[in-house]
Formats: sequence, C-alpha cells, structure tokens
Amino acid sequence: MKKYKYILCLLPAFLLASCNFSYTYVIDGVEMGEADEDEDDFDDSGSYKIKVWVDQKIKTLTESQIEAFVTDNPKYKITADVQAVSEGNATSNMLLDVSDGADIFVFAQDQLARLKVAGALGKITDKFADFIVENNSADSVKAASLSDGIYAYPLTSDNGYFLMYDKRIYNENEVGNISTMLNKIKGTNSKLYFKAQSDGFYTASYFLAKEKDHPEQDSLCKCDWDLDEITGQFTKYSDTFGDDNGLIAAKGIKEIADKALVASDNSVSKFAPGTGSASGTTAAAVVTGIWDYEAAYNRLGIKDDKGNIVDSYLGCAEMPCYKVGDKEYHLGSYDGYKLMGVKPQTTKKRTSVCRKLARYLTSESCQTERFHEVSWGPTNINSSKNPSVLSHPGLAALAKQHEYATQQGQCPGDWFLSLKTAAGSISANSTDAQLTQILKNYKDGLKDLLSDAD
Amino acid sequence: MAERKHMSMSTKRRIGNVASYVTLALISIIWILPFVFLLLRSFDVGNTGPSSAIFPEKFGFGNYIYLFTAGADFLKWYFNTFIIALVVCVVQTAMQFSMSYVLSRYRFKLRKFMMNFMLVLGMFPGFLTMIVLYQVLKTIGLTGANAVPGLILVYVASSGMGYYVSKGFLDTLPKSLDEAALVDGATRAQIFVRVILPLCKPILIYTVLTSFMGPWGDYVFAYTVSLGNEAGMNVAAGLNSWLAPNMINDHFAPFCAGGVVVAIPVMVLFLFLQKYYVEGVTGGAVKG
Repeated sequence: MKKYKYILCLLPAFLLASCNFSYTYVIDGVEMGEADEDEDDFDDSGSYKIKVWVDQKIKTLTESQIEAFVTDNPKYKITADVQAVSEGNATSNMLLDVSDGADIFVFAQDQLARLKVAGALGKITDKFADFIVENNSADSVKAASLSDGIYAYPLTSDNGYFLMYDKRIYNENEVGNISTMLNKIKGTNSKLYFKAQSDGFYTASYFLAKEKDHPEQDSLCKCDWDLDEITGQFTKYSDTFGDDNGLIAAKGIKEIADKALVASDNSVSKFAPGTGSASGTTAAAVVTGIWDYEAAYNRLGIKDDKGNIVDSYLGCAEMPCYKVGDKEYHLGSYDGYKLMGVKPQTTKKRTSVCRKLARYLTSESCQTERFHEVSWGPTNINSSKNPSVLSHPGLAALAKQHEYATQQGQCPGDWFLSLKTAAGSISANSTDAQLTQILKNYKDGLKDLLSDAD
Repeated sequence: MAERKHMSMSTKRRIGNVASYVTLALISIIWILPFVFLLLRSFDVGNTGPSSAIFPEKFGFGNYIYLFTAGADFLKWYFNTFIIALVVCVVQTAMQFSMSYVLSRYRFKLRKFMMNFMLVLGMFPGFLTMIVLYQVLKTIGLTGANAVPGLILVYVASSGMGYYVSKGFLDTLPKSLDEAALVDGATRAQIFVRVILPLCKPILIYTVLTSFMGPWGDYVFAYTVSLGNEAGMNVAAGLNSWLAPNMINDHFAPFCAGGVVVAIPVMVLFLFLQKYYVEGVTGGAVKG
C-alpha cells in the first residue's frame, strides 16, 4: 500500500514537471536567426515553406501578391500557406504558441510589446529598418517601434474610427455637433449608434477631445503607461483622465446617456436600407472604422434597374463636437495601425526571405493594390498620395480626424474596461458630485491594473 | 361554509395552474426564442449584418447558398466536424462498452480503485488539460492543419472513463446469461458481442448519441488545436471566425444559416432515436 502512495505522489509531480519542460521548450525553441549582415547581398536562395496569417478579406489577394514576389525573385521557391486568421486571433495564437504560429502575420499595433515579449517578433535592422522609415508615415513607424528599435512592418493606417451617417437624415453641416445630431432625430425611430458608454476604446474619444478648431492643442486628458519591455509588465502610469479635465469629458458623456436617442452599438447593418424601408429602430449615424465602410456603403446603396449599386446614401465625416459650458470640444480618437510581423526564424536564410517577403507585402504597390481591393488605408507615403486614396470618403474622414487623434500606445487591456465602467455609470441626470466620484473610482482602480496588467 | 371552502380550493388550484402554465410558457418562450431568431435570420438576405429584428428584411435562401459556395470554407469545416464526430462516435462507443463490460462482469485486483480513480479524474473539467494536450499534440504534429486526427485522439483518449452509465445498465443484466453461454462453450468475446450487446440497444444508442454530440458541438478544444488554421477547423471554430469585427457585418446571417445546418444531423438522430435515448438514460441510472 505504501508503494502505491509513493507512486501516486510522484505521478502528478512528474506530470507537472514534464508540462513545465515542454512549455519552456516552446518559448526557447525559436531561435532568433538574426541576419545582421546586409541581407540583400546575402545568398538566401532556396526552397521555403512559409506560413502567413492575414485577414479573410485579403487572403486571395495576399496569395496573388506572394506569387508575384516569387515571379520577381525566381531564386526563391516559396510554398506559401496563406491562412485566414483575424488580427485578434493571430495575436492570441502567437502568444499561445510562437513556434507553431505563422512566419508572417498581421496584428494591431497595441499588441506590439506583448508579441515582442512573447518572442513572436524580432528587431528589424539594417536595410529593412531603413526601408520602413523611408517609405512609411512617421506615425506608422512610431507605431511599429519600441524603445530600442523597429519590430514590425506598417501595413495600414486606418485602424481608428470616424462618423458614418445616412445622408437622408443628415446633411454635412449637421454632423459637426452631437447636440444638433440628437435634436434632429428626436421623436423619430432613428438613433445615433455610438459605443462611448460600452467600449473603452470609444469612451476615450471624449477624454481625448481638443477644443474645437484647435487641433494643435493637447488633448483634454492623457493616460500614458510605462511598459517594461523585458517582462511585459506595466510598471507606471501617468493619468489625467480622472482629473479636472476628465470632468469636462464626463459632462459631455451625459448628453449621450439618453437611451432614447443613442444606442450602445456600432453595427452598420442598423442603417435603414438604401432601397426600401426598415421597421423598428434604425441608425442615423454610426461611429465605427473603415472595416465597416464597404458594408455600410452597400447597406445604404442605391440600386439601378438591374439591381447593381450605383451610389449610396452613406456619408463619412470626422468625429463631431460636444459642448460643455460655453466651449465646444472636438471628439478625439485613437489613431490605430495594423502591422505585419515576422516571427524570429530558425535560420538566417529564412529570416532574410521572410523579411524580404514582408517588405514586399507592405510596399507601395501591395498597399495600393490592397486599397483598391478592400479600401484599407495605406501607411506608405507614396501610396497614401494616390488620387483614389485621397478621394475615398472614409479615408478622407479619417485623415481629417487624424488632426484630433492621439496615437495609441501600449496599455493594459483592462484599462479600456475601467474606462467603459466609468462611462457606463454616467447617466443623463448625474450631478457634478456624482461624476467626480465616478472619476475618483476610476482613478483609484488604475493602481490595480499595474499588478494585474498582462 | 363547506361549499365555500371547496370553491376556494378549486379557485386556488386554478390560480396555481394558471400561474404554473404562464411561468412554464414564459420559460419555453425564453428557451425557444433564440432558435426561432436563428432560423428566421438565416433566411434574411436583405440584412446580412447583426440585427435585433427577428423577422427577415427580405426572405431568401442566399445565405444557405453562400454556405455551399467555394469561397465560404463552410463545407470544409462541416466535413472536418463530420469525420471527427463519426470516428469518435464509433471508437468511443466501442471503448466505453468494452470498459463497462469488463468492469461489470470481471473481478480483478484494483478494480474498485480504478473505478474510483476514473470517477475522480472525470470530475476535473477537460479544458484544464488543454495547454498540456496542445503541447503533446504539437510534438507529434497534430495541430494546425492536422488538427482533425489530433482532435479525434483527444476525444477518444478518455473514452473508457465514461463507463459508469453503461456499466449501470450492464449490471442490471443477469450474470446467469453469461454463465449459460459459457456453459454452452462461448468465449467471453462471443458472449459480449452475441449475447450482451443485442440486449443493450437503448444504452448503446444513448452512448452513440452522446459520443457523436460531444465533438460535434465542441468549440474550445477545436479552436485551440486548429490554432486558426482553416484546414483544421471544425464548424464551431470556423463559424466563430465570421463573427470577427470586420466580418460580422456581412456574415451574421450566413452564420445563422450555418447554425441551422449544423443542427440538422443531431436533430435527425434525435428524432429517430429519441425512444431509445430515454430508455438508455433511465436504464443506466441504476446503482452499479
């Protein structure tokens, strides 16, 4: 009987130990394979199997772009396994298992530090870094960088939000101010769809606002987080969201706490169809991003006799203003970028080829092609000057909003949750004392995020 | 006075009945509404994005047609799910029954300990082992695109541990049947296949159904093991990818249609085997 007891004690210990070893192996199993020399002169010809994760919408396009790369570079025999994985899933999958993850993948900029800490990104050096700096907007390069260098290739500049509206309800002069917008839809079955009270990413727009017509000024509030880029822990924060200027934002939020006029949603399918009518509540305007542009355009599309969409009632504009006291504030937003990352490879040759492929996929020609295919805003300087890009209503609205936007840095995911909780507690009847208390609670909660921050 | 009391009792009963029926009707509506919503939205070709409206803006079969078009990947996910569920169903049923038979009919050293040990192990939620299982599967190359065999392995690996319901049923069958067959010269295997199994139809069907439904509706393991690779996804993980922020606005109605198509095989199985299912559950719920 004693023997069994020993075995029973040792078995779990052995199992735990083996789990630990296997996990360590995964993280350590990825070799950096840095090619420090000038990779363009480096003999990296050969056959490669490369796994690429991109959004479903650009899967086919990416396959054809990789084919074009291989045609232009016959010394590489690349078997590309392009898989449709959304940016969010790409990040979580890479964090789960770097070694089984894609060689090249797309992710949102705010995940850069986490991915670096997890060993999913290597520092980009030499000609590749020069290429990124020379060809992309300064803000996008900043988004792809950590304190010690560049870690990813800028891919799109459109990961922010703006206002989409139904031209049958508003004209372009009426979408500059939230009060005007809400007054116009009073007593109708239309609402403003804005997640300012249900999603911290959108709540921030009130706190990041600037005085109307003064984009050069600082935003009302700031919340910066210091990240230890080795441990991936947030070590410090500097926050003014919970201070006096935060109270201005909180007062602004009161206006949209009227559930009869504002819905906490951002689905463009709530627009009444361009052809025919819709029953129930419909959207007069929606605050969302370029990823919904096509769906919104089609939803509000005007069709010809053959059923083809020839025009649309969709209007796009920068974020509107809100008024507190006698001052008007232009809603801010976060400027967001999508980046293309290259996983540290097992050999120098693979590192070189993957980097060249990522460089190609984020080049002017590929970004322009991507814009024409799915309307993604380019980060490439030349591509963003393309007349088609400049005349795109959604991207034009984003460009205008850019003046009032703040670049999204690294922050704990739970910070958005704290913001959402604070905004969600605000009602149309909240007194100043109540708002101050809400902000105080928010500020007190930030300390907890330091120890919990991932 | 007595009459008034009688009337009062009758009224009370009536009020009680009405309250019960109203409550039950409300619960039924709450339970059934999501299914009605799913079904109706699956026919909405006017608004393919998320909507709280139950009735379609424009009725059509476009979403179902989309599921079976080349670019939708749904067929691939459906096929993966079907293969996984079918193989698991066969292997798990065989393993579970063999295990139950052995534990019911044989007496050997550590039998009791083994039964208790498996019972305790079975109480731990499966997902606790997810990361370890993932690492093991990865080591043998059964993740990502090869997730289908990997998932089959995961689902059938612990099959024997689900022995207790079928063992409960087998315990109700008299051992004299086995003994009579033994006297007639049958081997243990022959007894199991020719004598015991034909008597176990209800519990056999119950086991087949539950072992088919487990992998058919699984999301957590399927998503983790496939690691975002479409080729290895099952239908739950695949359909979920249509709910990503940049997909949902033109994929919500096809998602609902997918949900309906996924439910069809299970519904058909239940419709035909419902009688045995109930017999199996009640037959196995006997102290073993």
